[in-house]
Amino acid sequence: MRRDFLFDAWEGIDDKYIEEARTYEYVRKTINWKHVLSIAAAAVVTVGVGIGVYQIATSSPAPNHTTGEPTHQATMTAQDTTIPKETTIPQDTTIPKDTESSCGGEGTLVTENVCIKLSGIEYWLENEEAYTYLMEKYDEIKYSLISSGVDAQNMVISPNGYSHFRTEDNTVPVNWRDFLVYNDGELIAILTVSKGEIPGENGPHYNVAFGGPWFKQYNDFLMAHKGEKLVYLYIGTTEAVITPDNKIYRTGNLTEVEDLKADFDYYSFFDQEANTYTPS
Amino acid sequence: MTDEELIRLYWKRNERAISETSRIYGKYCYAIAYNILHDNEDSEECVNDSYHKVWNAIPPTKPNVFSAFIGRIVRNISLDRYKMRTAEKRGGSQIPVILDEIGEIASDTPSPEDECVRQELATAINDFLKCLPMDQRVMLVRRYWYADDVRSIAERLGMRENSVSVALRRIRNRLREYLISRGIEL
Repeated sequence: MRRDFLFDAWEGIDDKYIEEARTYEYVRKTINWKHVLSIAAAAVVTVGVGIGVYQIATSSPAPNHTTGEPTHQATMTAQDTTIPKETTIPQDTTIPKDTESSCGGEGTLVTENVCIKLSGIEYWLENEEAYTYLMEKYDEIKYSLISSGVDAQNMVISPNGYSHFRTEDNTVPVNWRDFLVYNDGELIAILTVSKGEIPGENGPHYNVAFGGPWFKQYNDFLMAHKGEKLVYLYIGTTEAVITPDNKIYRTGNLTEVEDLKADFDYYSFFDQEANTYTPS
Repeated sequence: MTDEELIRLYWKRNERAISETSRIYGKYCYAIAYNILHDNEDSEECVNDSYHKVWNAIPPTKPNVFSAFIGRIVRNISLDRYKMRTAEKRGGSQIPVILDEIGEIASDTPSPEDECVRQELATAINDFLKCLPMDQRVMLVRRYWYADDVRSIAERLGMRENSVSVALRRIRNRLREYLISRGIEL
Protein backbone atom coordinates (compact mmCIF):
# COMPACT_ATOMS: atom_id res chain seq x y z
CA MET A 1 0.00 0.00 0.00
CA ARG A 2 1.17 3.52 -0.74
CA ARG A 3 2.29 5.41 2.34
CA ASP A 4 0.26 8.48 1.41
CA PHE A 5 -2.94 6.39 1.41
CA LEU A 6 -2.51 5.65 5.08
CA PHE A 7 -1.67 9.28 5.76
CA ASP A 8 -4.69 10.54 3.81
CA ALA A 9 -6.97 8.12 5.62
CA TRP A 10 -6.43 10.12 8.81
CA GLU A 11 -8.41 12.87 7.15
CA GLY A 12 -11.49 10.69 7.61
CA ILE A 13 -11.40 10.36 11.39
CA ASP A 14 -14.51 11.37 13.29
CA ASP A 15 -15.04 14.98 14.34
CA LYS A 16 -15.48 13.84 17.92
CA TYR A 17 -11.88 12.55 18.09
CA ILE A 18 -10.53 15.79 16.63
CA GLU A 19 -12.50 17.77 19.19
CA GLU A 20 -11.51 15.43 22.01
CA ALA A 21 -7.82 15.82 21.17
CA ARG A 22 -8.23 19.59 20.92
CA THR A 23 -9.81 19.96 24.34
CA TYR A 24 -8.01 17.22 26.24
CA GLU A 25 -6.10 18.63 29.13
CA TYR A 26 -3.98 16.59 31.44
CA VAL A 27 -4.71 17.20 35.10
CA ARG A 28 -1.76 16.31 37.26
CA LYS A 29 -2.85 13.78 39.82
CA THR A 30 -1.10 14.63 43.08
CA ILE A 31 -2.11 13.12 46.37
CA ASN A 32 -3.43 15.64 48.81
CA TRP A 33 -2.92 13.87 52.10
CA LYS A 34 -5.06 16.35 54.02
CA HIS A 35 -7.91 15.55 51.66
CA VAL A 36 -7.36 11.80 51.99
CA LEU A 37 -7.35 12.03 55.80
CA SER A 38 -10.53 14.11 55.87
CA ILE A 39 -12.29 11.54 53.64
CA ALA A 40 -11.09 8.70 55.88
CA ALA A 41 -12.32 10.52 58.99
CA ALA A 42 -15.71 11.13 57.39
CA ALA A 43 -15.93 7.45 56.44
CA VAL A 44 -15.23 6.36 60.03
CA VAL A 45 -17.96 8.68 61.36
CA THR A 46 -20.45 7.43 58.73
CA VAL A 47 -19.79 3.78 59.58
CA GLY A 48 -20.18 4.53 63.29
CA VAL A 49 -23.50 6.30 62.74
CA GLY A 50 -24.64 3.47 60.47
CA ILE A 51 -23.95 0.86 63.13
CA GLY A 52 -25.83 2.94 65.69
CA VAL A 53 -28.86 3.30 63.41
CA TYR A 54 -28.80 -0.42 62.61
CA GLN A 55 -28.80 -1.26 66.32
CA ILE A 56 -31.78 1.03 66.99
CA ALA A 57 -33.67 -0.39 64.00
CA THR A 58 -33.14 -4.02 64.95
CA SER A 59 -34.29 -3.33 68.51
CA SER A 60 -37.63 -1.87 67.27
CA PRO A 61 -40.68 -4.07 66.55
CA ALA A 62 -40.79 -5.39 62.96
CA PRO A 63 -43.26 -3.65 60.62
CA ASN A 64 -46.41 -5.59 59.79
CA HIS A 65 -46.60 -5.54 55.98
CA THR A 66 -49.85 -7.50 55.88
CA THR A 67 -51.90 -4.93 57.73
CA GLY A 68 -49.72 -1.95 57.03
CA GLU A 69 -49.91 -1.13 60.68
CA PRO A 70 -47.50 1.60 61.57
CA THR A 71 -44.68 0.28 63.64
CA HIS A 72 -42.11 3.06 63.67
CA GLN A 73 -41.75 6.73 63.11
CA ALA A 74 -40.88 6.69 59.40
CA THR A 75 -44.05 4.81 58.47
CA MET A 76 -46.17 7.08 60.63
CA THR A 77 -44.90 10.08 58.71
CA ALA A 78 -45.69 8.44 55.39
CA GLN A 79 -49.20 7.63 56.55
CA ASP A 80 -49.72 11.18 57.74
CA THR A 81 -48.90 12.49 54.30
CA THR A 82 -51.60 10.27 52.72
CA ILE A 83 -49.26 7.87 50.93
CA PRO A 84 -51.09 4.52 50.81
CA LYS A 85 -49.74 2.04 53.32
CA GLU A 86 -48.81 -0.50 50.62
CA THR A 87 -46.85 2.03 48.57
CA THR A 88 -43.13 1.46 48.40
CA ILE A 89 -40.91 4.41 47.73
CA PRO A 90 -38.99 3.77 44.50
CA GLN A 91 -35.26 3.44 44.97
CA ASP A 92 -34.36 4.99 41.62
CA THR A 93 -36.68 7.12 39.56
CA THR A 94 -34.26 7.91 36.73
CA ILE A 95 -35.06 6.50 33.30
CA PRO A 96 -32.52 3.93 32.14
CA LYS A 97 -30.36 5.40 29.37
CA ASP A 98 -31.18 2.74 26.82
CA THR A 99 -34.92 3.44 27.16
CA GLU A 100 -34.42 6.95 25.84
CA SER A 101 -33.05 5.79 22.52
CA SER A 102 -35.10 2.66 22.08
CA CYS A 103 -37.54 2.17 19.24
CA GLY A 104 -41.24 2.73 19.54
CA GLY A 105 -41.09 5.60 22.02
CA GLU A 106 -42.56 9.04 21.63
CA GLY A 107 -41.55 10.79 18.45
CA THR A 108 -40.27 7.65 16.80
CA LEU A 109 -41.16 6.33 13.39
CA VAL A 110 -40.08 2.86 12.47
CA THR A 111 -39.10 2.20 8.89
CA GLU A 112 -38.11 -1.37 8.16
CA ASN A 113 -35.71 -2.26 10.95
CA VAL A 114 -34.22 1.18 11.44
CA CYS A 115 -35.53 3.70 13.91
CA ILE A 116 -36.12 7.13 12.51
CA LYS A 117 -36.60 9.54 15.35
CA LEU A 118 -38.12 12.97 15.32
CA SER A 119 -36.09 15.51 17.26
CA GLY A 120 -37.14 18.84 18.72
CA ILE A 121 -40.67 17.60 19.36
CA GLU A 122 -41.04 19.79 22.44
CA TYR A 123 -40.83 22.80 20.09
CA TRP A 124 -42.78 21.29 17.19
CA LEU A 125 -43.12 23.85 14.43
CA GLU A 126 -46.04 23.30 12.06
CA ASN A 127 -45.61 24.52 8.50
CA GLU A 128 -48.61 26.81 8.80
CA GLU A 129 -47.31 28.39 12.00
CA ALA A 130 -43.90 28.99 10.44
CA TYR A 131 -45.35 30.43 7.24
CA THR A 132 -47.75 32.72 9.11
CA TYR A 133 -44.82 33.96 11.13
CA LEU A 134 -42.82 34.66 7.96
CA MET A 135 -45.73 36.55 6.45
CA GLU A 136 -45.81 38.76 9.54
CA LYS A 137 -42.10 39.39 9.04
CA TYR A 138 -42.40 39.78 5.26
CA ASP A 139 -41.52 43.50 5.10
CA GLU A 140 -38.69 43.18 7.57
CA ILE A 141 -37.15 40.32 5.57
CA LYS A 142 -37.67 42.04 2.24
CA TYR A 143 -36.03 45.30 3.28
CA SER A 144 -33.17 43.60 5.05
CA LEU A 145 -32.45 41.72 1.81
CA ILE A 146 -32.73 44.87 -0.27
CA SER A 147 -30.44 46.76 2.10
CA SER A 148 -27.93 43.92 1.64
CA GLY A 149 -27.93 44.46 -2.11
CA VAL A 150 -30.29 41.63 -3.06
CA ASP A 151 -33.00 42.33 -5.63
CA ALA A 152 -36.09 41.44 -3.58
CA GLN A 153 -38.68 43.91 -4.89
CA ASN A 154 -41.05 41.11 -5.93
CA MET A 155 -40.10 38.74 -3.17
CA VAL A 156 -42.16 35.57 -2.80
CA ILE A 157 -41.70 33.14 0.05
CA SER A 158 -42.48 29.57 -0.89
CA PRO A 159 -45.37 28.44 1.35
CA ASN A 160 -43.95 24.98 1.94
CA GLY A 161 -41.08 24.59 4.35
CA TYR A 162 -39.02 21.49 4.90
CA SER A 163 -36.63 20.07 7.42
CA HIS A 164 -33.81 17.61 6.74
CA PHE A 165 -33.26 13.99 7.59
CA ARG A 166 -29.96 13.74 9.49
CA THR A 167 -28.13 10.54 8.60
CA GLU A 168 -25.78 11.07 11.52
CA ASP A 169 -28.35 10.08 14.12
CA ASN A 170 -31.35 9.05 11.98
CA THR A 171 -33.43 12.00 13.11
CA VAL A 172 -35.77 14.41 11.41
CA PRO A 173 -35.91 17.70 13.33
CA VAL A 174 -39.43 19.07 13.57
CA ASN A 175 -38.57 22.32 15.36
CA TRP A 176 -37.25 24.09 12.26
CA ARG A 177 -38.02 24.42 8.57
CA ASP A 178 -36.29 25.96 5.59
CA PHE A 179 -38.28 28.15 3.19
CA LEU A 180 -37.06 29.13 -0.25
CA VAL A 181 -37.37 32.78 -1.25
CA TYR A 182 -37.75 33.82 -4.89
CA ASN A 183 -37.73 37.09 -6.75
CA ASP A 184 -39.17 36.99 -10.27
CA GLY A 185 -38.60 33.25 -10.34
CA GLU A 186 -34.98 33.44 -9.17
CA LEU A 187 -33.93 31.87 -5.89
CA ILE A 188 -32.54 34.69 -3.77
CA ALA A 189 -32.48 33.40 -0.20
CA ILE A 190 -33.27 30.55 2.15
CA LEU A 191 -35.08 31.31 5.37
CA THR A 192 -34.77 29.02 8.34
CA VAL A 193 -37.56 29.31 10.87
CA SER A 194 -36.88 27.58 14.15
CA LYS A 195 -38.20 27.25 17.65
CA GLY A 196 -36.48 26.45 20.92
CA GLU A 197 -32.94 27.09 19.72
CA ILE A 198 -32.36 30.27 21.66
CA PRO A 199 -32.53 29.78 25.44
CA GLY A 200 -35.45 31.64 26.98
CA GLU A 201 -37.01 32.35 23.60
CA ASN A 202 -39.49 29.65 22.71
CA GLY A 203 -41.38 31.41 19.92
CA PRO A 204 -40.37 31.12 16.27
CA HIS A 205 -37.46 33.14 14.94
CA TYR A 206 -35.77 33.22 11.58
CA ASN A 207 -32.37 33.32 9.92
CA VAL A 208 -31.84 34.34 6.37
CA ALA A 209 -29.11 32.98 4.11
CA PHE A 210 -28.51 34.72 0.81
CA GLY A 211 -25.85 35.29 -1.81
CA GLY A 212 -24.85 31.65 -2.16
CA PRO A 213 -22.81 31.23 -5.37
CA TRP A 214 -24.66 27.94 -5.91
CA PHE A 215 -28.18 29.46 -5.90
CA LYS A 216 -28.42 29.90 -9.67
CA GLN A 217 -27.54 26.32 -10.48
CA TYR A 218 -29.75 25.09 -7.64
CA ASN A 219 -32.63 27.20 -8.92
CA ASP A 220 -32.29 25.59 -12.36
CA PHE A 221 -32.30 22.21 -10.70
CA LEU A 222 -35.52 23.03 -8.82
CA MET A 223 -37.15 24.27 -12.01
CA ALA A 224 -36.19 21.05 -13.75
CA HIS A 225 -37.93 19.12 -10.98
CA LYS A 226 -41.06 21.26 -10.81
CA GLY A 227 -43.98 19.31 -9.38
CA GLU A 228 -41.81 16.48 -8.08
CA LYS A 229 -41.60 15.75 -4.39
CA LEU A 230 -37.95 16.13 -3.33
CA VAL A 231 -36.55 14.59 -0.18
CA TYR A 232 -33.97 16.55 1.82
CA LEU A 233 -31.25 15.25 4.08
CA TYR A 234 -27.96 16.09 5.69
CA ILE A 235 -25.27 13.50 5.10
CA GLY A 236 -22.91 14.55 7.85
CA THR A 237 -22.51 18.25 7.09
CA THR A 238 -23.47 18.01 3.44
CA GLU A 239 -26.94 19.05 2.39
CA ALA A 240 -28.38 16.66 -0.16
CA VAL A 241 -31.60 16.16 -2.05
CA ILE A 242 -33.10 12.96 -3.43
CA THR A 243 -35.14 13.04 -6.61
CA PRO A 244 -37.96 10.56 -7.30
CA ASP A 245 -35.66 8.58 -9.59
CA ASN A 246 -33.65 7.71 -6.46
CA LYS A 247 -30.66 9.91 -7.30
CA ILE A 248 -29.00 11.85 -4.48
CA TYR A 249 -27.43 15.23 -5.25
CA ARG A 250 -25.40 17.62 -3.12
CA THR A 251 -27.26 20.93 -3.22
CA GLY A 252 -24.02 22.97 -3.11
CA ASN A 253 -22.73 21.79 -6.48
CA LEU A 254 -25.41 19.35 -7.67
CA THR A 255 -23.01 16.49 -8.12
CA GLU A 256 -24.34 13.03 -7.36
CA VAL A 257 -23.49 11.28 -4.13
CA GLU A 258 -21.59 8.13 -5.05
CA ASP A 259 -21.08 4.81 -3.29
CA LEU A 260 -24.75 4.07 -2.85
CA LYS A 261 -26.31 0.64 -2.87
CA ALA A 262 -27.69 0.18 -6.32
CA ASP A 263 -30.82 -1.67 -5.25
CA PHE A 264 -31.78 0.41 -2.24
CA ASP A 265 -34.76 2.72 -2.46
CA TYR A 266 -33.30 5.78 -0.72
CA TYR A 267 -36.09 8.00 -1.90
CA SER A 268 -38.83 6.06 -0.12
CA PHE A 269 -36.68 5.30 2.88
CA PHE A 270 -35.86 8.93 3.67
CA ASP A 271 -39.26 10.25 2.67
CA GLN A 272 -40.83 11.61 5.86
CA GLU A 273 -43.50 14.25 6.00
CA ALA A 274 -41.26 16.96 7.46
CA ASN A 275 -38.31 16.73 5.05
CA THR A 276 -39.94 16.99 1.65
CA TYR A 277 -40.50 19.89 -0.67
CA THR A 278 -42.24 20.11 -4.02
CA PRO A 279 -41.07 23.01 -6.20
CA SER A 280 -43.95 24.66 -8.02
CA MET B 1 -19.89 33.37 21.44
CA THR B 2 -20.98 29.77 20.93
CA ASP B 3 -20.28 27.77 17.76
CA GLU B 4 -23.99 27.84 17.02
CA GLU B 5 -24.04 31.64 17.12
CA LEU B 6 -20.94 31.73 14.96
CA ILE B 7 -22.54 29.49 12.33
CA ARG B 8 -25.62 31.68 12.46
CA LEU B 9 -23.44 34.67 11.51
CA TYR B 10 -22.15 32.77 8.48
CA TRP B 11 -25.71 31.92 7.47
CA LYS B 12 -26.65 35.56 7.77
CA ARG B 13 -23.63 36.42 5.55
CA ASN B 14 -22.46 38.69 8.34
CA GLU B 15 -18.77 39.48 7.87
CA ARG B 16 -18.28 39.57 11.62
CA ALA B 17 -18.31 35.76 11.33
CA ILE B 18 -14.75 35.87 10.02
CA SER B 19 -13.40 38.19 12.71
CA GLU B 20 -15.11 36.08 15.38
CA THR B 21 -13.69 32.90 13.86
CA SER B 22 -10.26 34.47 13.92
CA ARG B 23 -10.72 35.54 17.53
CA ILE B 24 -11.95 32.16 18.74
CA TYR B 25 -10.12 29.73 16.48
CA GLY B 26 -7.21 31.79 15.13
CA LYS B 27 -4.55 30.27 17.39
CA TYR B 28 -5.93 26.77 16.94
CA CYS B 29 -5.86 27.09 13.14
CA TYR B 30 -2.43 28.66 13.17
CA ALA B 31 -1.08 25.80 15.30
CA ILE B 32 -2.39 23.22 12.81
CA ALA B 33 -0.88 25.09 9.86
CA TYR B 34 2.42 25.75 11.60
CA ASN B 35 2.83 22.10 12.63
CA ILE B 36 2.72 21.21 8.93
CA LEU B 37 4.55 24.15 7.39
CA HIS B 38 6.90 25.50 10.07
CA ASP B 39 6.75 28.91 8.49
CA ASN B 40 4.99 31.94 9.93
CA GLU B 41 4.07 33.61 6.68
CA ASP B 42 2.82 30.46 4.96
CA SER B 43 0.86 29.45 8.05
CA GLU B 44 -0.85 32.81 8.28
CA GLU B 45 -1.76 32.69 4.60
CA CYS B 46 -3.23 29.21 4.97
CA VAL B 47 -5.28 30.30 7.95
CA ASN B 48 -6.63 33.28 6.01
CA ASP B 49 -7.42 31.06 3.03
CA SER B 50 -9.28 28.71 5.34
CA TYR B 51 -11.50 31.57 6.60
CA HIS B 52 -12.38 32.34 3.01
CA LYS B 53 -13.17 28.68 2.34
CA VAL B 54 -15.39 28.46 5.43
CA TRP B 55 -17.22 31.60 4.28
CA ASN B 56 -17.95 29.95 0.92
CA ALA B 57 -18.93 26.63 2.48
CA ILE B 58 -21.45 27.92 5.06
CA PRO B 59 -24.19 27.93 3.87
CA PRO B 60 -25.20 25.35 2.70
CA THR B 61 -23.02 23.37 5.09
CA LYS B 62 -24.11 23.28 8.72
CA PRO B 63 -21.11 21.89 10.60
CA ASN B 64 -21.88 19.95 13.74
CA VAL B 65 -18.45 20.44 15.26
CA PHE B 66 -17.15 23.75 14.00
CA SER B 67 -13.63 23.31 15.38
CA ALA B 68 -13.22 20.01 13.52
CA PHE B 69 -14.74 21.53 10.40
CA ILE B 70 -12.36 24.48 10.22
CA GLY B 71 -9.49 22.30 11.47
CA ARG B 72 -9.93 19.96 8.52
CA ILE B 73 -9.99 22.89 6.09
CA VAL B 74 -6.84 24.50 7.42
CA ARG B 75 -5.10 21.12 7.56
CA ASN B 76 -5.95 20.35 3.94
CA ILE B 77 -4.87 23.77 2.72
CA SER B 78 -1.63 23.49 4.67
CA LEU B 79 -0.92 20.01 3.34
CA ASP B 80 -1.51 21.23 -0.20
CA ARG B 81 0.86 24.10 0.43
CA TYR B 82 3.40 21.69 1.88
CA LYS B 83 3.18 19.40 -1.17
CA MET B 84 3.54 22.36 -3.47
CA ARG B 85 6.59 23.59 -1.58
CA THR B 86 8.18 20.14 -1.62
CA ALA B 87 7.58 19.88 -5.36
CA GLU B 88 9.20 23.27 -5.86
CA LYS B 89 12.28 22.16 -3.98
CA ARG B 90 12.53 18.95 -5.96
CA GLY B 91 12.08 20.08 -9.49
CA GLY B 92 12.34 23.82 -9.63
CA SER B 93 9.50 26.30 -9.82
CA GLN B 94 8.15 24.92 -13.11
CA ILE B 95 6.79 21.73 -11.54
CA PRO B 96 3.74 23.25 -9.83
CA VAL B 97 3.01 25.18 -13.02
CA ILE B 98 3.24 21.98 -15.07
CA LEU B 99 1.06 20.15 -12.59
CA ASP B 100 -1.52 22.91 -12.86
CA GLU B 101 -1.38 22.71 -16.65
CA ILE B 102 -1.84 18.94 -16.61
CA GLY B 103 -4.62 19.39 -14.09
CA GLU B 104 -6.56 21.31 -16.71
CA ILE B 105 -6.81 18.26 -18.95
CA ALA B 106 -6.78 15.45 -16.40
CA SER B 107 -8.97 15.21 -13.37
CA ASP B 108 -7.13 15.03 -10.09
CA THR B 109 -10.12 13.27 -8.59
CA PRO B 110 -9.01 9.95 -7.12
CA SER B 111 -10.13 6.83 -8.95
CA PRO B 112 -13.04 4.86 -7.42
CA GLU B 113 -10.56 2.18 -6.30
CA ASP B 114 -8.35 4.74 -4.56
CA GLU B 115 -11.34 6.33 -2.90
CA CYS B 116 -12.63 2.94 -1.81
CA VAL B 117 -9.31 2.02 -0.18
CA ARG B 118 -9.14 5.40 1.57
CA GLN B 119 -12.66 5.06 2.93
CA GLU B 120 -12.01 1.53 4.10
CA LEU B 121 -8.87 2.70 5.87
CA ALA B 122 -10.62 5.66 7.46
CA THR B 123 -13.38 3.40 8.77
CA ALA B 124 -10.82 0.97 10.17
CA ILE B 125 -8.87 3.77 11.86
CA ASN B 126 -12.06 5.14 13.42
CA ASP B 127 -12.95 1.69 14.73
CA PHE B 128 -9.46 1.30 16.13
CA LEU B 129 -9.60 4.72 17.81
CA LYS B 130 -12.93 3.82 19.39
CA CYS B 131 -11.31 0.88 21.19
CA LEU B 132 -8.37 2.85 22.61
CA PRO B 133 -8.27 4.42 26.09
CA MET B 134 -8.81 8.16 25.84
CA ASP B 135 -5.21 9.23 26.58
CA GLN B 136 -3.81 6.87 23.94
CA ARG B 137 -6.39 8.05 21.43
CA VAL B 138 -5.54 11.69 22.11
CA MET B 139 -1.86 10.86 21.71
CA LEU B 140 -2.45 9.25 18.34
CA VAL B 141 -4.76 11.97 17.02
CA ARG B 142 -2.43 14.73 18.20
CA ARG B 143 0.44 13.05 16.37
CA TYR B 144 -1.18 11.97 13.11
CA TRP B 145 -3.96 14.47 12.65
CA TYR B 146 -2.63 17.60 14.34
CA ALA B 147 0.98 16.71 13.41
CA ASP B 148 2.16 17.69 16.91
CA ASP B 149 5.76 16.93 17.78
CA VAL B 150 6.50 14.41 20.52
CA ARG B 151 7.54 17.10 22.98
CA SER B 152 4.20 18.93 22.70
CA ILE B 153 2.31 15.69 23.15
CA ALA B 154 4.38 14.84 26.21
CA GLU B 155 3.57 18.25 27.73
CA ARG B 156 -0.10 17.91 26.94
CA LEU B 157 -0.36 14.44 28.45
CA GLY B 158 1.98 15.01 31.39
CA MET B 159 4.40 12.32 30.22
CA ARG B 160 8.08 12.10 29.43
CA GLU B 161 9.04 12.40 25.77
CA ASN B 162 10.60 8.97 25.75
CA SER B 163 7.41 7.42 27.15
CA VAL B 164 5.36 9.07 24.43
CA SER B 165 7.68 7.74 21.73
CA VAL B 166 7.52 4.23 23.14
CA ALA B 167 3.74 4.39 23.55
CA LEU B 168 3.27 5.68 20.01
CA ARG B 169 5.42 2.89 18.62
CA ARG B 170 3.36 0.29 20.48
CA ILE B 171 0.06 1.79 19.34
CA ARG B 172 1.32 1.93 15.75
CA ASN B 173 2.19 -1.77 15.93
CA ARG B 174 -1.28 -2.52 17.27
CA LEU B 175 -2.83 -0.45 14.52
CA ARG B 176 -0.81 -2.36 11.97
CA GLU B 177 -1.97 -5.70 13.38
CA TYR B 178 -5.53 -4.44 13.51
CA LEU B 179 -5.51 -3.31 9.87
CA ILE B 180 -4.03 -6.65 8.76
CA SER B 181 -6.70 -8.51 10.76
CA ARG B 182 -9.32 -6.57 8.77
CA GLY B 183 -7.79 -7.79 5.55
CA ILE B 184 -6.15 -4.51 4.62
CA GLU B 185 -2.91 -5.07 2.75
CA LEU B 186 -0.03 -2.98 4.07
